[in-house]
Amino acid sequence: MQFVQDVDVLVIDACAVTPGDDLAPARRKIIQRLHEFHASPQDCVDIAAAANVGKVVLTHHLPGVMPEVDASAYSGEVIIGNDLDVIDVI
Amino acid sequence: MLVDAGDGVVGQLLAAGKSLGAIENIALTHMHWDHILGYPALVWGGWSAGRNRMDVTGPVGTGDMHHQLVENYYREQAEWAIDLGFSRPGFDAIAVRDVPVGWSEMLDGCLLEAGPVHHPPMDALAFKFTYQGHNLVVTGDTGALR
Repeated sequence: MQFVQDVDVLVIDACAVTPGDDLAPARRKIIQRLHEFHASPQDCVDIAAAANVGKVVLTHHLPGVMPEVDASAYSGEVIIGNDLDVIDVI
Repeated sequence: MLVDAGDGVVGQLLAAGKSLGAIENIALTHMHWDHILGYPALVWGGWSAGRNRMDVTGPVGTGDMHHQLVENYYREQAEWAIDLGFSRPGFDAIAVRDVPVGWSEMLDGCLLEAGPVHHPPMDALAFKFTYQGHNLVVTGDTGALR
């Protein structure tokens, strides 16, 4: 947390999504374990809020999954990162 | 400065309008396949485009990755390319270093720092860039550290 305190932009791993009900059991099991070594999209926004980060850029998306977050407690900007995005650091 | 080099990085750099030969600094957050499989392609692509030196910085295991994926496998092909006219420093003067959490260095006026993440069982780093009062952190992969 200290490392990201007050930074202008935080590009962060938001890979650990909640698996959908339609997933095959084996795949579902893998995705459930992602929290052990990846952050969830909501973790990322919560960290950005707690560390007073200017903008948080969510990355490391799984194929076919759009991260969903509640950013109501965060005053900064939440960006769902995409390939070739250009983001100002100001 | 490029952070991580997953599969497809050469094509994406070109799509972004970057010159492969101009990339002389790479920071790798960790050695998982989806963060480094484009690295050998970038070693070759940048060299083909005229790069004469490169610094590669990452956690414990970075030097070993370079040794295994680039030096061990491509040395013979590199010597052939050097005979063909490629610059020797472009392949030989790649300075790869393993750095710990807390490491920092000034690079062309930009402060680069390595920070902690949680990505077991890998050794992994986040990188912070601070330039003229503005800063950016790229975490690589990490669980939530609170």
